[in-house]
Amino acid sequence: MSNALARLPMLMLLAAYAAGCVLHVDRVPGWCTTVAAAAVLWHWLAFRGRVALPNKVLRVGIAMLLMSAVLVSFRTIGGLAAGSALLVVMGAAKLLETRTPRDGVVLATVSLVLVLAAALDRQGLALLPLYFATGWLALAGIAALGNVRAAHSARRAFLQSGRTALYAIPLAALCFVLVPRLPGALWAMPGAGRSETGLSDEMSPGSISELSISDDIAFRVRFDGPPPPPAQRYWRGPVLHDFDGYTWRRGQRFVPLVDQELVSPPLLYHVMLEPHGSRYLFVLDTFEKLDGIAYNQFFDGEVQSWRRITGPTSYDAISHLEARNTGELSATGRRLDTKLPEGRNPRSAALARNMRSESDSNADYVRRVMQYFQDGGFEYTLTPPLLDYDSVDDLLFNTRLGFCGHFASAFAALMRAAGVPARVVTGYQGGIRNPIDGRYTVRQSDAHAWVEVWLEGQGWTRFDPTGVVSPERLQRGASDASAAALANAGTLLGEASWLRGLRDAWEAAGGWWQEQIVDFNRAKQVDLLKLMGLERIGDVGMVLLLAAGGALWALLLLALLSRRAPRVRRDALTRVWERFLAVLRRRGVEVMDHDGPVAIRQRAQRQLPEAAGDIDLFAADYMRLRFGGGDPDDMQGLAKLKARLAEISRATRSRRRRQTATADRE
Amino acid sequence: MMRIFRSGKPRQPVLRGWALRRQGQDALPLTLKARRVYILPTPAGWTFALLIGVIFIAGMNYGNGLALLFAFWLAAFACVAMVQTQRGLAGTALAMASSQPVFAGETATWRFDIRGRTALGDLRLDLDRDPPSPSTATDSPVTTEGSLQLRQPVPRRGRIRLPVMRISSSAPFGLFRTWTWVNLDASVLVYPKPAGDLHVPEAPGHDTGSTRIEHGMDELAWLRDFREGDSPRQIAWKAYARGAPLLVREYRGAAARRREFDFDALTGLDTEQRLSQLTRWIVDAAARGESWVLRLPGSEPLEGIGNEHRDDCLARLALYGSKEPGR
Repeated sequence: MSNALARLPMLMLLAAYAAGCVLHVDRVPGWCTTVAAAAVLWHWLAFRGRVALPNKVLRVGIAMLLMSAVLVSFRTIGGLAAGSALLVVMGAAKLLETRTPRDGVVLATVSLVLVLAAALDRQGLALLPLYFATGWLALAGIAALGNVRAAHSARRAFLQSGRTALYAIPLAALCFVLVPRLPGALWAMPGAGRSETGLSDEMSPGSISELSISDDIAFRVRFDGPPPPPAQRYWRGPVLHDFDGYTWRRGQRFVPLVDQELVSPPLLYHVMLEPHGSRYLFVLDTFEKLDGIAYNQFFDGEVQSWRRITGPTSYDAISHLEARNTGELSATGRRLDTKLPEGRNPRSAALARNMRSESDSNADYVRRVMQYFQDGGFEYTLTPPLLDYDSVDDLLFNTRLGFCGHFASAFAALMRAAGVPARVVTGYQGGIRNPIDGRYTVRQSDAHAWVEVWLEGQGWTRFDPTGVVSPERLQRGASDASAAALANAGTLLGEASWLRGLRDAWEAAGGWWQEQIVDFNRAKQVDLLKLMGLERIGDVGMVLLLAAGGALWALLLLALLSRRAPRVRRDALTRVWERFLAVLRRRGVEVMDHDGPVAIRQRAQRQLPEAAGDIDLFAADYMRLRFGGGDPDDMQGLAKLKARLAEISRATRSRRRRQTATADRE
Repeated sequence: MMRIFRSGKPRQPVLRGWALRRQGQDALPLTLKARRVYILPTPAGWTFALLIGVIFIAGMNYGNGLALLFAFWLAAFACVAMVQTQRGLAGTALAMASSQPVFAGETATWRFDIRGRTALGDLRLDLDRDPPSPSTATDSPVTTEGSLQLRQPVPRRGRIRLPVMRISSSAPFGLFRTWTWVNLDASVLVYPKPAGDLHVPEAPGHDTGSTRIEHGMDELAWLRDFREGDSPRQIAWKAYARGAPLLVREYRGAAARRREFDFDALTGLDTEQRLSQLTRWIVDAAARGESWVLRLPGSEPLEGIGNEHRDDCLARLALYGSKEPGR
C-alpha cells in the first residue's frame, strides 16, 4: 500500500460517501447536505491539484464549527436525525483530510454507518436497492484500497467485493435466523418527532375543497379466519366529541366507561400499521384487547399506543362484530355528546327539533334523519365547495355536496340539536384483499368518518350517513365512489388489471419484507424454529446450531476457494509474446517451451522469410522491454509490439491458407 | 561464526519464537503450507469490527431486522475476507533467493522468485524488524509470478545469512494481515568495506604480459558472457539482436601493470583495516585493468587479472579468518 490514496479508490469512496448522504438528503437539514457536497467538491479539486486541502488548524476549526452547528440546530446529538446529521458533517470533515488509505477506510466506514442510520429509519423494500448499492460501493472502495489489482480496475473491485458478499450470504442468513433476539429494547428509541399524513385530532369538513386521494397504505391486516364483510369493516380511530359549529375536536377525556356485552364470537386479526407520527391504533368494532404493543383504551373506544408510531408497527387484536352496551350513559357522557354551541347553525337546529317532534322515539328520529340524507338530494364528491361559518346549515340547505366528513358532521349536529347523544368517529372503512398474500390493504383513501348515536336499550349504535348518500362508497371505497375520481380513474389508479396485479404483488412483497425480515423478532424466531421442528432448542441450542452451520459453511467455502487452482496472472508484455508464439504455431513454426526468444526468432525468420524483418524487430523490441530494464508497463512500447504482431500475422496469412489447403487434400 | 546483523527487536517475539521452533529450518524450493500461515485483523479490520458491533447493537436494540441483517452480512463478509486473505498466502511457492555480493556498509539486495495466488504488489517481504524494510516487486505488480526484492543492510564482512524474514499480505480487502516467517538457509557474501589511502604498491619486476590491445580509457576492450547481476545498460543489445548470446561490454583503461598486494606488508594496521585497504587496492586495480597478486597469510598467493580474479580475491578477503575457505 502506498501512502497516497490512489485515484480509483478515492473516486469510489467519494461516490460511496455521496450516496450515503443522498440516503439522508430529506432527513438532515439542507445545510448538512450542502456541506457534504462542498467537501466532496473540495476534495476532488484538491486531488486534481487545483486547490489545497485545508491545513490542520483550519481542519480542526471546520470540524468544531460543523459539530456545534449540528448541536445548535438539534439541541442534542442523540437521536437518529441528529446522529445522521452529525455523521454527514463528520464525513465531510474527514474528507478534508483524506490523504492516506487509513483515512479511506474511515470514509468507507462512515458511508456504511450512513446506510445503517438510513436503514434504522426507513426499511421499505423500495429503498433496499439504494442501501445495497451504497454498501457495495463502500465495500468495492475497501477492495480498491486493499489490493493492487482492484486499485487499477473498478470492475475488478466490484467483482471482488460482490463475490465475497455473495459467499457471505449463507452465513448471514444463518445468523439472521439463529442468533437469539432480545425480548425487548436495551434503551428507548428516541422519538423522531415527525408527523406524517394520517387522521388528525380534529375535523373541519367545510375547510376542505379537495380531498386528495392518497394511495399510500395506512395499514395491512391479516384475519385469522373468515374476514368480516366489507360493510362491517369500520376501523376506529380518533373519536370527536367537541363541536364548535364548524370544527369537531376530541374534547375532554374524563368520562366513565359504559359497561358492554360482547355478543358475537371473537374475531382475531393482525394489523401491520405504517408509521403515521401520532399514537392512534386502528381496530374493528367492538374492540376487546390488543397484544404485542403497549396501549391505552379510552371510554369512547379509542385506542392509543404508548409511543408515537414512527416506524412500522404491528399488533394482534381481538374484536367482536356484535356488542351492546348494558350500562347507562353517565351524566358527564351525556353532557359531552349533546353539547352544541349557542346560536350556531340555527336552520338545521330548527329542522332537527321539527323532525324530533314528529318522531315517536329517538330511534325513530334517527331513521327519519337517515331518510332525509337519502332523499334530500345530497351528492357525494371529493371536491366539495367550501362551507360557510355555519357549516351544517350551508351543507344542508345550500351546497348539498360533500364527502364522509360533511355528512357525519351534519348528522351528528342534527342528533345533538334534538338532544340525542352523538359522536363522530373517524378512521378507515373497507380494505381490499391482496390476492397475492391474502392480506387486506387499507389505504389513506379509505379514510372515513361516521357517527355513533346513543339509543336507550341499545347503547352506542353506528350510523353512516355517507352510506345512504352514496352506497358505493362503502362497497368500493372513496376513490371509486367519487364521480370526479371515476373520470380520472384511468390515469390515477389504472383500471388496467395487470397494473393492479403488479401493485398487489409489490405490496405483498413489501408486506412480507416488513413482516418477516424487518420485524423478525423473538416470537417469529420461535415460530420459525417450530416450523422446522426445533421448538425446544432454546438459546444455547440455537447458538450450537449456528456454530455447526457456520462450520459447514466454512468447509464449503474452503472447498469452493480451493477448487480453483491458483491462476498465474501474466503481465501485458508476456501476453503479447504468447500471442506471437501462437501466431508462429499456427503458421507451422515449431515452438518448444524451453526455447528462448533468440532461438525462436531464428527459427521463425528462417521459416517465415516474408516477415523476417518484422519478426526481427518484434523480437528485439520484446527483449528490450523484457530484459532491457525498461518499464514493463510501457504502454507505447506495448502498442508498437501489438502493431508489429498484427503486421507479422497479416504478412504470413497466405501461409495459413496454403496449409489448410494441404490439410484438406490430405 | 559471523553474527547476524541486528537492528531493532523482532516484533511479536513470543509467537515468532514458537513458530520458528515449530516449523524449523526451511529449504528452497519452499511451498508455504496453510498450517504455518497466521492471520490477524489490521487496524482497518478492527475499525470494521467496531462498525459491525455498532450496527449489531443498534439492530438488536431497535428490533430492526434490516440493520441486523446488515450487521450479519458484513460480519460474514469479513469472515469470507479472512479466508480469502489466508488462502492468498497459503500455497505460495518460493523458488529462489539470491543476492549478489556487496561491500560491507552497503545494502544487499535479495531477489526472491515467487509464485502464488496473490499479486506480487500485494505481497510483502520484510525482515520483521524495526525500522521495517519493505520489499518491492521487480516485475509488474499485478502478476502472481515473478520476483520480489528485499534490501538488507550489511555492516560487516563475511558470509552473512539472510535473517528470518516475514512474508505477508493483506489482500484483497486490507481487513486482515496474513503472514508467515521464513527461515531460509541463504547467505550473501559481503566483501570488506574498501577503505584506506596507502600508496598502491608496485610489484617488482616485469610487466604482466597481457596480450590485449589497449586504447583510451573509454574504449571497448572485450565482450564477455552475461552474468547474473550485470547492469542491463552494459548488455550488447545490438549483438544480441543479431543472434549472439547475451554479452556484456567491458572497458579497459590504462596500460596494465602488475601490482602486489600483501597482507603482511601492511604493518601498523589492524586486521580489518588491512582487509579494507587490500579491498580498496583490488577494486581500483581491477577498474584500471591492471593485474595483481594477492598474498594472504595461510593461503596460496592469487595472481591474475580481470573481474573474475577480482571477485575471487574479494571473496577471500571477505572470508578471511573464518573457517569457510574462499572460492
